[in-house]
Amino acid sequence: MPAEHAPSFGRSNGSELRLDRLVKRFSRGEPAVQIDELRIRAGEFVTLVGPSGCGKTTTMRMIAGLEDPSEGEIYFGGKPVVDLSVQRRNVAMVFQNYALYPHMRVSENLEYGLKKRGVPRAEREVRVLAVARMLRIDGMLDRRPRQLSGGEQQRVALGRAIIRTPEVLLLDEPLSNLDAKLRTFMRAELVKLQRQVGCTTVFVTHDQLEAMTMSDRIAVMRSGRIQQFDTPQDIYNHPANLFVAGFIGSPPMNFIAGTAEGGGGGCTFRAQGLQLHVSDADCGGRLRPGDGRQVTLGIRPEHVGLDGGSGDLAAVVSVVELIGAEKYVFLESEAGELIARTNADARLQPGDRLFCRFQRGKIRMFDSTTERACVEPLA
Amino acid sequence: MSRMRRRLIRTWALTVAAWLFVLAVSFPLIWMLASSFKSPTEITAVPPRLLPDALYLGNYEALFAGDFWRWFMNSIIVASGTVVIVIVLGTLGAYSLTRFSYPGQKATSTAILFTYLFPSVLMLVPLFLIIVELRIMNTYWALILADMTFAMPFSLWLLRSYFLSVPLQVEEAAMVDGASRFACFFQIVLPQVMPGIISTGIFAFILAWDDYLFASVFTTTAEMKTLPVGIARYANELNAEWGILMAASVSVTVPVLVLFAFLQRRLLPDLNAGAVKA
Ligand SMILES: Nc1ncnc2c1ncn2[C@@H]1O[C@H](COP(=O)(O)OP(=O)(O)OP(=O)(O)O)[C@@H](O)[C@H]1O
Ligand SMILES: [Mg+2]
Repeated sequence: MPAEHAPSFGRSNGSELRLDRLVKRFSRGEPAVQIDELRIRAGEFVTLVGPSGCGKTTTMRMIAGLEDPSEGEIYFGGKPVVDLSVQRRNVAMVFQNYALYPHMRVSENLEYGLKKRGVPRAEREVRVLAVARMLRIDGMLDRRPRQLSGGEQQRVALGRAIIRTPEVLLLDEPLSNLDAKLRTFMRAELVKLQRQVGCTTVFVTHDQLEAMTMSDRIAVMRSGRIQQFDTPQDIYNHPANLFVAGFIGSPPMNFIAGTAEGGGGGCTFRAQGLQLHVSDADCGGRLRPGDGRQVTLGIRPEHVGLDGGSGDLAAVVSVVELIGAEKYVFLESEAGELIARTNADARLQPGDRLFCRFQRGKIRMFDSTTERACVEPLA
Repeated sequence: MSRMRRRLIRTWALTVAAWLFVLAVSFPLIWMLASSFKSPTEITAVPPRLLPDALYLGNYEALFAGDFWRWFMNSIIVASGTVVIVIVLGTLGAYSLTRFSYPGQKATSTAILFTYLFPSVLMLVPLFLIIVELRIMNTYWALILADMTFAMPFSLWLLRSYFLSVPLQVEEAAMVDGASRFACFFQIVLPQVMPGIISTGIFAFILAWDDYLFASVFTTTAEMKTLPVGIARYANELNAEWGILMAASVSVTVPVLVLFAFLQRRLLPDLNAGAVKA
């Protein structure tokens, strides 16, 4: 079998994964996880993101069967699996620290799951070789895990998971132990691999860049609840609430608290040092009416234009950071602190007085009390 | 003086010091070995000399002509029985202590350590009553039971620390791979704690092999005697047959040394390294 041909060792037909009113309580009080519904399509690559302790690992462990949910059901392709033991669910999981079998060779690590499922020796050997070639670890099949580098260990862990072509593949921060360069490389590799194998994949990460670049859809979690489940683009452009708006995007979205007058077709936003008429078109959706209510205006740094002459909000430059191809400009204004992203050759000095201009169509409005977006995206 | 030379001298000095220390520690053993080849007159010669004039084998002949092999077999049976039971119960117990959570688990671990602090003499009477009650007086079972009772707390504690060093996630990975709890225990955990099991086995073996107290109380007939009790009869209040005693001591020590030499190689490689990335 020539190595350049993508060796096939089988393809998973991946099944739809559905979480239904899933609750996990470790102690009395607020549950660690509470998911009303999460429906992941067969073969889809979904990323769970959220701050530390928001319940990502717990959710994964419930899907794998390592943790019993307190309430609710999990369906693989329509069949309930909560009563199935971990051994009998067709899932594979890659742990953050890889958890390889230290006393077994790489080849034995890879084939252990197949062995446990009664796959005959001849087929095991073929599959081990195919997976090893695919992940480029075929030269180290006789080594033990401790004789491998971090990146190689990570690929063995990945190989051990996909060799069984599971219905559902769970990846709990598998890239976080790798250095930046290898991470970027493995990101692309992982996506390619997932397309080839075709199993429904849930991927956990802290890194929103990973989430944005790799996923078909992203589920943003906070305190055990899903805040928004959508494509990377929609999550970025139309965050459902203040939390998602602030969590996704780096540097984060600028927020200005104020009040809104009028509504339905447009409103007047007022904050300290800022008065702005916001039409439906300006905020990329249909503003829900609400007279005089407390709202928060959100605008991403790349949509804040800087102008010496005139604009929406007067500001003073406090810090300028050069990040390769662009500059982050930290500003102080009466309405609070803001960050703007400009190109690298913009001539700016701390102390410069200028005006911010908010790009029309990119303004987002949130209800300050409910924290929800008060804009309905146009269909 | 060049740095290279200084380092060389340092190495040499350290080596010599280490050898002197080894010599001091092993002097009684060397004396024992030398004396076992001395004739009765030479043993008591004044001034004493380390090496015998001629190799005298009479001590060994006398020793092996007696009940030595009988005692030797008894000791082997008791020590091996103790090792097997301690390892089986110890690994299961340690696995339970480190992997399952149940009420009183912490307290159990601590209590186990405490029981190890009791001197064996204190356990003599309770053990005696139990052994009489079980009607196993003067059997191998009595000695195995007594030695096991004494070896168990420390063995559990030792094994517990080895089991704690096996990351839970490696086991979980195996279960996701389809391994049952039993498969997990035998195929994933046991191979990783093998050095701990060997250490525990050696500990239990030596403890049972060296035991004099339990063996002297819980055996009543000559044919049930173990080596330590048996050879003690060469030294009584009237006279001591030093030559035979030394020959017996050598014969008791050699199997333990062989066991160590054989198992030491297996103790060295650290299989646990690289299980999870730090
Ligand atoms: N075995 C457990 N017993 C009690 N509480 C637990 C247990 N496991 C997790 N928790 C709690 O549940 C919550 C969610 O934990 P979880 O590990 O799922 O977070 P996470 O999103 O994976 O965080 P991280 O990004 O840091 O890995 C946390 O508050 C944690 O303290
Ligand atoms: Mg986690």
